[in-house]
Amino acid sequence: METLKQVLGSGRLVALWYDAPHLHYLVEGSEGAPPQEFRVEARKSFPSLAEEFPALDWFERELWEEHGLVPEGYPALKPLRNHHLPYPFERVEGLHEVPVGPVHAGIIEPGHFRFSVLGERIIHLELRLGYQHRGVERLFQGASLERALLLAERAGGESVAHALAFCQAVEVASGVEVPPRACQLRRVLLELERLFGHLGHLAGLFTDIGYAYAATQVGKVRALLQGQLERLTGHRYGRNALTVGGVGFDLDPKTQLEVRRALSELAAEAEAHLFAALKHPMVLDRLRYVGPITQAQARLLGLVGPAARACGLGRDLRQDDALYQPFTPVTRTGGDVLARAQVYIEEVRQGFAYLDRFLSELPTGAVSAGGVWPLQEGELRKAFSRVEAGRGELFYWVRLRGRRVEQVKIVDPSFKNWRALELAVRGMGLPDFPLINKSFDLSYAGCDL
Amino acid sequence: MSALLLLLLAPLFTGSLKWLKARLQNRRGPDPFYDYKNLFKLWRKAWIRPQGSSPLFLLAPVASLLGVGLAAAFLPVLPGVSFAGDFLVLVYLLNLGRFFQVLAALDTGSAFGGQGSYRESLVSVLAEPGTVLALGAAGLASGSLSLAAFTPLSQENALVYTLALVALSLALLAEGARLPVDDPTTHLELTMIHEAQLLDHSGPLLALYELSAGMKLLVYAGLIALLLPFGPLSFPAVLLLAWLALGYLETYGVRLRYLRLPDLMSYNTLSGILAVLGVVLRFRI
Repeated sequence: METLKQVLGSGRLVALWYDAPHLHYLVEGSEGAPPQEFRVEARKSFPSLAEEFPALDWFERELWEEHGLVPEGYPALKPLRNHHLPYPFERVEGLHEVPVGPVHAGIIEPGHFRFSVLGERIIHLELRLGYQHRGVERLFQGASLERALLLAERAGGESVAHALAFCQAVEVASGVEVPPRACQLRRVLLELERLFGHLGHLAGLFTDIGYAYAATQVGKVRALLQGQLERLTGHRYGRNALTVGGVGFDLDPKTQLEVRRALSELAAEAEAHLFAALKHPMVLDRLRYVGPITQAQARLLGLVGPAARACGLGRDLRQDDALYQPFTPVTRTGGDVLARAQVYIEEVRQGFAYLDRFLSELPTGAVSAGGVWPLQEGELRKAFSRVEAGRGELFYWVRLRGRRVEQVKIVDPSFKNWRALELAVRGMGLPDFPLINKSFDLSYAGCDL
Repeated sequence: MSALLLLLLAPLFTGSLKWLKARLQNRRGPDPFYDYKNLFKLWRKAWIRPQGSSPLFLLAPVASLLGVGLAAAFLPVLPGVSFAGDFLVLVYLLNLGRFFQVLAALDTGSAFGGQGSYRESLVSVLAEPGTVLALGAAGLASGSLSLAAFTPLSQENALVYTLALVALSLALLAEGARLPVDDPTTHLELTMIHEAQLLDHSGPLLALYELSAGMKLLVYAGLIALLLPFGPLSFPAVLLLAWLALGYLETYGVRLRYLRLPDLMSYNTLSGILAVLGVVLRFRI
């Protein structure tokens, strides 16, 4: 416990999951070092660390809700996703409360936001999520690998990243070797997904500030990128493209060349629009100094992905990926909406460059590991994997028995980043909230599972 | 007469504006006559009333259209009512409609209705002095306080009229709830000003609101036309110009931060004050 506290103090919590009767804390120390796993026995309760390390807050509430484990010493325990239990909102004396959602005027995911405002200034915000809770982790239990993969692709906002993280975890657990061509094709899909995701965030930012031209043009590039993904995999979100042991599609040299050419044209178009948009003085005025997160806050909450990199925390899981070498994470120091937008834009450039590289030197060979399934009927294996999805680090832990999944734990990047929104809006104007929210652009479904 | 003209023109103006914006953004866009169809569709739909709201909820859209319609009747684009000081009646008839709109939005008891109400009231307070001062200055410069007797722009009153036109153009953006003051296309309730008040109105009630918002825009365009050379005859040209300007502004422009709104609207008031000073001190350049 003491070493755990020590490591948590200097590191970052990757995941906390329950594999009865042990709690597993996966903590990443200093950059580059492999994450350390700590086991703590827990049958009815466990010591709460949330007060000291706020990054554990939602994890502990989740354990209480899902497994009935009571975090001892947790202040003011309340449900996270369960809407059948009473939920007392934190009230600020003397302030006006503005409830927003879960039904919104636009077609977006449901979530409830409770603002305590002084005039137009937000003093406090409390999130209430869980409206999208479908019991995904429960559905995994006892599922075949094929069905589990279908579930993984639908768990959160990023189908390819979820499928990849699940497949990797299963492959590590079972010892299936993925051929190099399939490895590289998986990275192509992952980068395509990151690109259209990032462009979607940027188009959303431009829509929210009323900059219709940039929003439409960036949205168009995004749609065309999805077209390329469809061309490769037959699906605009890349679903059913990955399989355990490889990928379910292949491309001939002609398609490879055409996709590469199409992508370089799209790269030039995106570059032109984004470059122009970030020179627009009114765009800068709207984005700068809005919704700031300090580096200390980002560390405390254990933020991941572009949100953390915009605060100067240079961590990107692609640093550890042999296929991406050499890799330098994109960082900015502002921590505001502008910094996050700049990180998205820079990562779009980076993503296009890697796509070009992956598609130009594609190894030959099989795209899927054939052969027999290595695990015996009833053989038990466990493993975890991590993938840098567009929104940040995505974690999957699986426990396999033969060809069936016994249990999984999914930690979507959105689950770690939602709390950042509560801090980012403090002191900001109420009309700026949608913009700040959009700059994180988190997945409700991925968080609610 | 002019009220009827504006009533018929308003859906064409707002509908074709949507078409123009779509074209500028490389989209195909809706039919320019879309707003007529939309109003017709809304008119035939059922409406619902929030629990606990008073009859004011139903009265407000009617009052809103009535206020704008009566204001439009004073606009000497076509012959109509006119008397000394009628410009004041016009401005406050426009605000009468808003008064009921604000009350009805508060009446719904929803958080967004209240939010839209106080924001719209602020915008109106910011835009009103400039508009009244500009029209007053134009009246003083033409030696008559009746809109019908306003003399068109000439070398004699160029300075005063230019300032008045600046004030009125800014008022058109603010009162018409257009960019950069408000974003008519947004779906984000928290950023809304004008639209937040209409969230609870549906069917024919919404149709009345939309129609009166479109007419209001045209009334301001009409006021601008009065000050230009050829007076009321320049109305079609002003409409075309406003159509193009709004189309470009709402495509390539960015909405102002809400808390920066007073900065923009201070130019409106300042122009109005300078225009009056211009007349009083006889800077007849």
